Amino acid sequence: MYKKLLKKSKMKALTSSYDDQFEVSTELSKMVGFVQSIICESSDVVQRDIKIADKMKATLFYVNGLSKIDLVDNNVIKPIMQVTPETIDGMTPDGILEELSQHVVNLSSFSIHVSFDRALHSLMSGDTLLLIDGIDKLVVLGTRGYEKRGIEEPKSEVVIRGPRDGFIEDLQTNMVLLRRRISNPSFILQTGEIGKRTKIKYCLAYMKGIANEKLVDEIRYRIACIDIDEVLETGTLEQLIEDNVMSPFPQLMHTERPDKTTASLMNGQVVILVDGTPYSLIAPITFQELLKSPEDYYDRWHIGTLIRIIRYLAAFFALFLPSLYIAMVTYHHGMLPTTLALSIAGSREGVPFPAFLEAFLMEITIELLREAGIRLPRAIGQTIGIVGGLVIGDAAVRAGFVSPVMIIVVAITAIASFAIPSYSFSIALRMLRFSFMIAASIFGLYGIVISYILINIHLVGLRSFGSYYTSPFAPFNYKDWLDLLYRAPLSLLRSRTDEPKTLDDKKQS
Amino acid sequence: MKKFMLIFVLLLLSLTGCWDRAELEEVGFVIGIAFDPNPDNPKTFDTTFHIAVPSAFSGGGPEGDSGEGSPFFNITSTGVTNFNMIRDISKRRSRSLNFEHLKVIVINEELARQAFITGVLDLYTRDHEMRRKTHVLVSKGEAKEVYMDKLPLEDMPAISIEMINENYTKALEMIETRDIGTISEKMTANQSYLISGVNKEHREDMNISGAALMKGEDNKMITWLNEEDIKGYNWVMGEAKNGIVEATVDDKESFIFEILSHATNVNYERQNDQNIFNVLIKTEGTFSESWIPGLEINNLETIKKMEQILSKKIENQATSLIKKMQEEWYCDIFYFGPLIKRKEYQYWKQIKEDWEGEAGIFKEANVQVNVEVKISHYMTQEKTS
Amino acid sequence: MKSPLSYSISPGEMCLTLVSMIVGVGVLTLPRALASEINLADGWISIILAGAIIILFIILYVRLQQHFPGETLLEYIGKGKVWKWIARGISLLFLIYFLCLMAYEVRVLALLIRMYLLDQTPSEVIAALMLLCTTYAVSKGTQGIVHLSLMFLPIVVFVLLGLISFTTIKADFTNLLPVMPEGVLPVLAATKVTLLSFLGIEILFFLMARMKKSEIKVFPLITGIMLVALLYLLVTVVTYANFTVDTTTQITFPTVELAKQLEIPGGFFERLESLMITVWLITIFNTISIVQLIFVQLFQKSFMKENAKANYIPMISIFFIFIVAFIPDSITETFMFGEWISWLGTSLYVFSLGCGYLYFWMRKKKNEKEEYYS
Repeated sequence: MYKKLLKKSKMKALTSSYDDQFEVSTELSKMVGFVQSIICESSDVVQRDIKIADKMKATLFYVNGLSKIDLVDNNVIKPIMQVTPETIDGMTPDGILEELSQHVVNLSSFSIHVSFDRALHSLMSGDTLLLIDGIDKLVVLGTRGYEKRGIEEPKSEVVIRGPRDGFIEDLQTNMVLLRRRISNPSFILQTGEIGKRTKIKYCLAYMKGIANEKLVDEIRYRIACIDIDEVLETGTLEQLIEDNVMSPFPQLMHTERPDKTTASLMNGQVVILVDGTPYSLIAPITFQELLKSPEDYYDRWHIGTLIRIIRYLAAFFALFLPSLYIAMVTYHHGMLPTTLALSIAGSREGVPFPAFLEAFLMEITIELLREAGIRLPRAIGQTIGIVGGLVIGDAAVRAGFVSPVMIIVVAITAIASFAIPSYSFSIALRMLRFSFMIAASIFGLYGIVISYILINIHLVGLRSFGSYYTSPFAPFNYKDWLDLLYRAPLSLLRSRTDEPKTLDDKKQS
Repeated sequence: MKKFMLIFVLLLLSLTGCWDRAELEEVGFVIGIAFDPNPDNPKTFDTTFHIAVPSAFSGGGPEGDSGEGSPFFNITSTGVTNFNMIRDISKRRSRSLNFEHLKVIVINEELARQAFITGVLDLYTRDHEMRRKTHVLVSKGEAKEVYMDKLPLEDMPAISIEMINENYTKALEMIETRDIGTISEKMTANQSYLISGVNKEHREDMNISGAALMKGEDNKMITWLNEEDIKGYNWVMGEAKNGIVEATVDDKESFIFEILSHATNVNYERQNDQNIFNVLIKTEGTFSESWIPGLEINNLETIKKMEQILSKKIENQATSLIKKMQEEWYCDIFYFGPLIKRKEYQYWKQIKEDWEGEAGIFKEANVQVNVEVKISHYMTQEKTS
Repeated sequence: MKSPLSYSISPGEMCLTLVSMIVGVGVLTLPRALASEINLADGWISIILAGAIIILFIILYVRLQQHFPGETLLEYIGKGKVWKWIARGISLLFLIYFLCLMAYEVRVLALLIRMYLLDQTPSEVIAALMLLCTTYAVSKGTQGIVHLSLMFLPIVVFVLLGLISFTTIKADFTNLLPVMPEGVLPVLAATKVTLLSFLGIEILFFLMARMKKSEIKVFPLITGIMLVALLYLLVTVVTYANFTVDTTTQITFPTVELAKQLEIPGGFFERLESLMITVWLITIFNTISIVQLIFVQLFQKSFMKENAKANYIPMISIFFIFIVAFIPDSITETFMFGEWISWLGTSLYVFSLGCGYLYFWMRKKKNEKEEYYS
């Protein structure tokens, strides 16, 4: 599959190049004409004509709002205008550029290009493009500076105890957030671009000396193989580089939390940040990581252990509860205690649907409520929850539409699926829950077990960037079991997890 | 591609499914069964099914619905085989019978005397739907009467019976509950055993006490054991868990001894061709109630005296039952036989066949009963005024 | 990157795979088989004895395997001229054996489900569903199958131990007395039955080829066998203690009935035998999938050209398994079928082991001769 991808990317490399159409020239008017023809009528690009030392014509281009006007005014236009004719008298074009870069323009970034592609890409990212009459070079001045959101608490992953900062949409800030936590020179942050036309910046972060070089190369390779116009979100990137497209399980983890990201980095995993999204992608992951939360480690180990166990229980309920209800109500009546069986039978008296349909209807209703609650403005969203949960539920029972026990089952299932820290994993469980329900309605417990076996077969075949997805269950690793259902005291967690394989296994000596 | 094919085949298979589907509210749960002889035709018998009506069950159902009507109904069918009668009900009532919650089986005394139990239990142990935990009782009088009237507190009489039955630790007059599992064990081992008796005296009262003595070889009921016998039985078997002993001082004032712990140790020895069983009953308990005026209970000698009275009484209860069994009924309900098997296997193999019975060896066995009673404390009061 | 081809089985994984292979239908019927064979409570002694014998077998085989790492026994033998045909013959027998074994397991599974879970659903559907499941598992290759055993075994062992510990509360261990009242002979007779329930060790002939040379060790395998023996021992003892030996002879699946006996105080679930069966499905699945994997690989290696496509073999194999599974008409016939298969398996094991040693010995002699001449 990746071979195919690679072939394609070689064939079509850089299709939309301006370098083939335009060539740099010494004539300013020609150059300006080129630039104008490329950017057409984009009204956010500002053109400003000036003169250097009163005799050389020059033109500045910058993007309104992306470039800092302050910098353009004070650090570019002002010094250039103040150049006296004597200073550049008799200088070669290269000499003039050198003079400009060394004595005139007081910006940290000053670069000279001969390629329109790169120069215009920089211009569109907020830099200032300087064209000078008589010089066949494109000068790019670093004047980037645009509005961005302040660092806020992550919305989707709230913790009680732990840092309150979250990633924002700006790549630079996100890199800073990570760098501030790992002030180690062997922490590598490598940027690049993806998206054939959008050219979104991404950043590959890993710990040199811990992360496996082969793994880093593999990820680099997969990203290099991407041939798509736009990558707008880490989610898109995730889908483009994951191992198995058919799997319902997430093979990369995304998080808004720099602390969680840092922990993964220190575990030898590789992190991908993409400009424009407040999420980082962590690869590779194993199944059990999706049930961990950074808070498990911030609290003392007793609490951590308790929460872990509750979370595993939640995963169990979210997956099995409705199907178990269906199996017991339609097939295995003997498994319920007599009084419970009779009272469920009594409450189902008059319900027109079989248990499966009843459960299915209620599950769909709750999924609808959830979806509606997300889409609506926050204030109304809560109302929807109350209206849906209380009013519809109660009315449905009173109307004899569903039985009260069903409401309890559905409610517990919904709450359990909210208790899972990873959103994408909880969605996976939600989907699988329906297949379990169908299986239970046909074969009862036998169907449930068969579905469970099928999922396990799928899981043992699944890889995330070469890591076994089911580690440490299979392949078995007893050290990792200390940090699974049970979160051992930190002093016992001396090594990194078995998967991914790292260059240095010891965390504490 | 193979994967998709597989999933496709699985889905196809599932389309034809749902063979076993039976919604919970569409089955009739049989909670109790009663067997009676048919007065018209002695070859057939009546089976009464005691079926729950879930909608009338308190606690269940939408508001306002509960509490209306009786939470159960009884339906009787006549025939010669069990299964036939179960299917007969399908013709007569809307819901098919389900035995997964069967709690109690009551057998009429008359049927129990005819080796009926083997036939009944055959179906109920063979079928997977049945539990091994279903209680079995023998009724004095008509068995279906037991299910006729609701007793206070529980919704269904069968549940009441089951719960009363489980109170056996509290009353020395009750034997440990017998479920289908244990009875079938005894049946395969050809051992004699007891089954609790249930007695419906009048409409709103029921009484579980006494026991039917079942003979091991033919599974026929021989006689009833009265409450005194059962006390003795519990002492010998070590099952007098939490009962009380009522004793009198000099046949006048009574007092109560409450058993806290009890263990019986039976020792078997074979000496000079004689089978000697040493039954050592050890019990410890409290002095709980006293009608004796001016009793100084904190006096060691008083306690000694009490203990003696008690051990005498317990010994009497135990020996009288053992004697009765040895001389009157020739039934080894104390499992002395298996004890020989453990100790003297070769000897047991010779006598296995004629251990019980009129000319049996059990009759000749020498059984000695020793009782050790200890009154460990006497509640808070030291002197009864 | 790990490709499935470079996967090698670690000693621990081999041990657990062996355990989940052996613990199949055996545990469910063993107490009854033992009780009806000798009608005494001495069966548990024979389990220890049989365990020891099996350990001996395994030690013998592992010694042999150490001489040809990376090859299966049959590949090793097949290198000789005449031996090639013997190896072919053995592999044909093995194929038949594996086919029958899978059919038997599937049939017992269908029986169990019909008895305890779904009594109307046709056995054919139940069996077909399970076989499709295992076929999917086989598509994941050796690594997948081994890892599946690792995933499921803890659940199975946990449930079994739970069952045992809960049922000991009401157990009467005096039922186990007297110990050896009729001497050693009945124990030896029972060992015959017990040995059969340890069957499954023949997978070592095939799976140990996937181990690294340095990792071919006896100790982990012995631990595995001891674990199995312990489980068998506990189950048998607890069954006898709960039901007495006489009753055990009457019960088709004593271990399941044991679960029926069990009651969790204040528990939410009743009838734990359904739960027990549910978990038991998983072990039977494990056994069938391991065998099917070996079946497919063996077929490919001995009767197909090297690069021929083998994708359809699992599918064809389940067709035959399905047909064979429904040849026996009743429970009794099924169990007779099972016994017959067990004897076939045992004799195959001993025979191939003997062949292996003979070939090894002959080759050694030949090499010595060559050395002598050169």
